[in-house]
Amino acid sequence: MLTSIIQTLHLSYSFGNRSVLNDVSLIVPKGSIFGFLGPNGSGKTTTIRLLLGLIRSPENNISVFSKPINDHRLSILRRVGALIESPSLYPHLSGYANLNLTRLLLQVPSRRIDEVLDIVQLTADAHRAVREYSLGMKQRLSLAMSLLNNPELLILDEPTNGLDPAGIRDMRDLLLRLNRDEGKTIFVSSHLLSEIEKIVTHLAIINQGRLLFQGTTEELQQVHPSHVVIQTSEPERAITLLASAAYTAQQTASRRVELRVDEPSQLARINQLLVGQGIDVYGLQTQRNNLEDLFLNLTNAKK
Amino acid sequence: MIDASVGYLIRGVEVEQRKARHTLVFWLALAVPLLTAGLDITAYAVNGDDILRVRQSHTPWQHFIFHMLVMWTMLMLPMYISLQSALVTALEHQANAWKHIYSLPLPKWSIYFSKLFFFVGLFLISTLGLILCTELAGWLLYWLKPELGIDPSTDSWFLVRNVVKTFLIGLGMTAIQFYLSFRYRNFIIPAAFGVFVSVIGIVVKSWAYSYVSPYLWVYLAIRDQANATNWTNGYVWAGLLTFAVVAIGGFLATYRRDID
Repeated sequence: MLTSIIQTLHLSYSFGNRSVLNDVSLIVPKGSIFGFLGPNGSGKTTTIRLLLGLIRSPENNISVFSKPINDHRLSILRRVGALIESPSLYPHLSGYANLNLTRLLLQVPSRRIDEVLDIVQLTADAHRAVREYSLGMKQRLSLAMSLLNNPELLILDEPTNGLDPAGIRDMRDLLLRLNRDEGKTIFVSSHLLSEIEKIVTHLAIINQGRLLFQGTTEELQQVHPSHVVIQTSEPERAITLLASAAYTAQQTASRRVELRVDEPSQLARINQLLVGQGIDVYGLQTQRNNLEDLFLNLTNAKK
Repeated sequence: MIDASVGYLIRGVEVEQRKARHTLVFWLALAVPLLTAGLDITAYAVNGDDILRVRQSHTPWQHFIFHMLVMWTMLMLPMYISLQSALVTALEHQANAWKHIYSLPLPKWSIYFSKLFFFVGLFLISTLGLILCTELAGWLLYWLKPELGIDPSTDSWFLVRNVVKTFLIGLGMTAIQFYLSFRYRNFIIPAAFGVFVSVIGIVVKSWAYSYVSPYLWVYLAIRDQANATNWTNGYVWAGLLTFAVVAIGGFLATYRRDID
């Protein structure tokens, strides 16, 4: 059985009369990259604040490293690194000086600053004022800050927020490296499935404070089939052929056919089927449904 | 246990000090006493004879100090504490840094008190700066305008004693201003509150019950008891007690607050 690093038990939370979280039970396995997905305002940040003790849960129903956060805040935080929404940096100081402030508070040796700068690839810019940094550099510096105490668990709230595609890719690579090379468990939130699905091993999906799904990416695939777009010279024949193989396809443009598949491995079979019958296939690609479709699927699946 | 707590505080104050480098915070701490002494020396250089004509039992040097202390306690100090309180926490508010700081393995009390003690440290720097600047101003007038009879060698403790007392009394308003600046993200709130209460104090300073305002205690202590040779008085104890109560109460009030 996998050890869980984070566990919430029927977690509910309200700001006054406004319910923000409702019966959220999360289990984050050790060594996982756990994606926490939901649209803005779905309760992701509130959950993260509760996990870090920034907001206090009225009940003792949040455990991190098997200890309740309400009673063991300090000992838990010693093993956690966090990045919450926008970077918390002092713009008039250099990147190095910013790291040094947190280093002093954490009482880690100063060589650790060089190590984390190297990990996030900011060594060359370390002595520039943070006000001159791009948003991507600020996010990386914040991540470096969360790595200073060499935490076992990283809790990252929308670390790709505001980054350009290259910045998103860099951040994804960085998280993969930290998980793979340093064995860190990473809890990462996002409002975009496409941003995190490539790296996560486990996923929880939250909407309007309720957990819609929790499981591995393979398990998600079962409730959230892929959408396949085929570019072909003979769409009508392709649809007939696909129907004979029990696929329901429809033509969406003059040379375009679309259908749903349960597993990406079925793509090869579809391709062989069409090409084998002499149909030219110009393109074959899977597309994820958008988040709204995903929520609809999950809600229907729950019913 | 005590060692660990002291360690948290020392590191916290050190971090506050490093954080404030290259900001207005240190400049303000030095500029305000310099400005106060500068205004006083200008007034005496230009119009010293007339000012000294109204002195009663004071020596010219004591009168020079008294004149400076009235300006310091009635106007400069309350304004300075109000503005400085807003500046010391504005760094965190503007950088959205509270959530980062509170997610570090630090006791919450150490976060509050490190910053409060750093603020008190700035006030202490200004207090020492005021003693130094006033002393230098006195010697400058001694050489430049000997006819005024200002001789700082005549009573060296009059200045130190009264300025130290204003420091101890001023700790009360320091704790109040700090709580407001820590509690409210909008820096206008502590700054405006402090300035408003200070201005009201100037208006009502002659009222029989004006002593209820902690922001006026520094002025009242100078106005009524500047000649006293003791190092403490009722205002000093009131200031220290207010500091202790508001500092602890302010921490407890913020302890269970959600961190934005």
